[in-house]
Amino acid sequence: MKIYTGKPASPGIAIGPVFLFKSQIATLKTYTIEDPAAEYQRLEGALEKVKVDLGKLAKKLDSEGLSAEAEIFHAHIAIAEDPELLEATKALIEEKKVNAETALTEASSTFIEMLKALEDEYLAARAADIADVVRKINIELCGDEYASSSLTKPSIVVAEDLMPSDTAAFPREFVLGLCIEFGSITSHAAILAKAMGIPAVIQAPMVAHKIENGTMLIIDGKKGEVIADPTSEYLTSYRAEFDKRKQLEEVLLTRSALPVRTKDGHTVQIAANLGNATDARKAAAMHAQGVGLMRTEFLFLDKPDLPDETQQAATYAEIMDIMGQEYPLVFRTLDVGGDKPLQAVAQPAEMNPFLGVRGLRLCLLHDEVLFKPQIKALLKAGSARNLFVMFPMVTSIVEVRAAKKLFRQYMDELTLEGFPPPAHLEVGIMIEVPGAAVMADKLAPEVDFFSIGTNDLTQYTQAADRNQTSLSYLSDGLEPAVLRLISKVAEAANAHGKWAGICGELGGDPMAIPILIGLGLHELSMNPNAIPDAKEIVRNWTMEKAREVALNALDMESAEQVRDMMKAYVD
Amino acid sequence: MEKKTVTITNKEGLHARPASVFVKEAGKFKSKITLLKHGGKEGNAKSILSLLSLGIDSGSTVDISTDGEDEVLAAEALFNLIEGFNKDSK
Repeated sequence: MKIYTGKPASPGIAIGPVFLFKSQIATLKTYTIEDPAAEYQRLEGALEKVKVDLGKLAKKLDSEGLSAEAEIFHAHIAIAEDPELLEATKALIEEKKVNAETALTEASSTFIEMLKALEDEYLAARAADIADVVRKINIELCGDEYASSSLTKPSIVVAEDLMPSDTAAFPREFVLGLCIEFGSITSHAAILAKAMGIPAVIQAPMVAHKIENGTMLIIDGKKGEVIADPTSEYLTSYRAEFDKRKQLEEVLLTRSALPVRTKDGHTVQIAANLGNATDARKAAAMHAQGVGLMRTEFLFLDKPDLPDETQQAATYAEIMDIMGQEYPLVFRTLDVGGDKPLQAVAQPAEMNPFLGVRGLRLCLLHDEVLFKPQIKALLKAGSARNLFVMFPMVTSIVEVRAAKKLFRQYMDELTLEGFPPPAHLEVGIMIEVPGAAVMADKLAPEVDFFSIGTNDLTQYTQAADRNQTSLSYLSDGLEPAVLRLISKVAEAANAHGKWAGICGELGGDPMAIPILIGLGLHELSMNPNAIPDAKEIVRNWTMEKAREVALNALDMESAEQVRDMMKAYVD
Repeated sequence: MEKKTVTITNKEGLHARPASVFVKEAGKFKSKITLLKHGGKEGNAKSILSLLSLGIDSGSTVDISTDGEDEVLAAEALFNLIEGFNKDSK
């Protein structure tokens, strides 16, 4: 037995055989070239390919709910298009008449050395990013097949260092833990491990050199310990510890299947926000009580043609089958605008796409090609079943009436075509526009439910672009200005016997949950991963106490004050 | 040619997200834009690698120089962006 001590990078215990990983290095050949322009063109071709691959990797993480981690690969794309790096590479190709791989490697090494020389842990990690991007481009240029890994059974990955794209490309089900000889807390491998819930130890001296493939290994991501070839006593005690933690997680997950009531017996529905059919399986596993927001954009974006009615109906029916009929499954009709234009529908450029033709506005403008096929597909899939549909970006009652009129018309057409109407049908609207929130009492009689999209509601209420980093101090959904609007919406729904839910980020925020149920919302919809915790929070509160903090929050000056108050309740 | 001088006071300095936001913003302008770190080196504001290698930590003072048809707008926008980062971290 041998114990190595490193730094803890991601908590948890992993026990299993070692998979010794070596990053693939492109076989670099240096040669002189005749035609610099052609060589530069070859480089540009490789760059394009790599950028597409990186974009896909970012999307994979996004679809796993790891959007912050997806940022890493957006940063990699920025490196791949860096003007200084490309200029320097181009100059070397022209002056020295060397091949693109050699030029790129030389140009990048200048930057890597500069960053390393600054002796800053963060910048050293960025040097690793550059190396990773350059390696990818070189592999592309050499025409080598990019072998992500040959990891074929559950193992603990041990490596000298891991490139971010290596970490993300491992088949998740086979990675029990990560153990890295170098690396840093701010390195992407560590960040990714944490986000994926994989135990990890970094800066464990010599591990990649001393430990052999297949050795039995224990890593303790909380203590930063790595035990190779453990004695049976060690193995037994760590196995017991491992089982205990597993059980705790399972208890939370099983409890997630139980009904959700506050201590004084009020039920609250904890539902999931989903982006595609894969998410639906995850939500079902987390015991989501339905789906408060089923996005439908994935059927439309990045596609040259619009999906037809039959294709859409098949997808909607598949999702309905996965989620079952016990709880509401709310489909949101297409929500795009000028910032994410559809390839199939020409949209003139807009100065302010977020104030432009988007959401329901766009669907009503192109009702024949967008609204009609989607509503008819939803009605077909929901024929003789339960169907919940909501419209995004609603501002005025005129839009609601227009949409409902078309809806009825499509339903009549389908009845003639032989599709019976849904067994239970609810049509609701999203509340994201402050004007609609203020007018909720007038809108309530027209709809069956409200779903508050807190991300956009916050951005429009605070007049602050949510992607504008320098305005992030305005963009907290717990701003009393936003809470007052939410309160108005909940009140209007309750007064008219309708239900109101939340489907923005705020719904899964542990500090916001008590306030939101105290304001009288019936349903909170969130990222599936947040569901077990959210249910526990609801169970630990009484409605009386929740109302009290909600009232206090409405009377506060700022989101900061609200968060200060809630800190006392969140561990 | 326009020049503005600003001190970075936000915790992270011009690293990580602020750096990539800065480069993205700089890329929107046609002018040639350089950053000179006082007591340090000069770099291309449109290049993330160049910017990072300047090592602009919290407390650094930089000159933003812009040269081109939209130089006034560019200098103003980038100056405001840094001021925004500074305010953000308070």
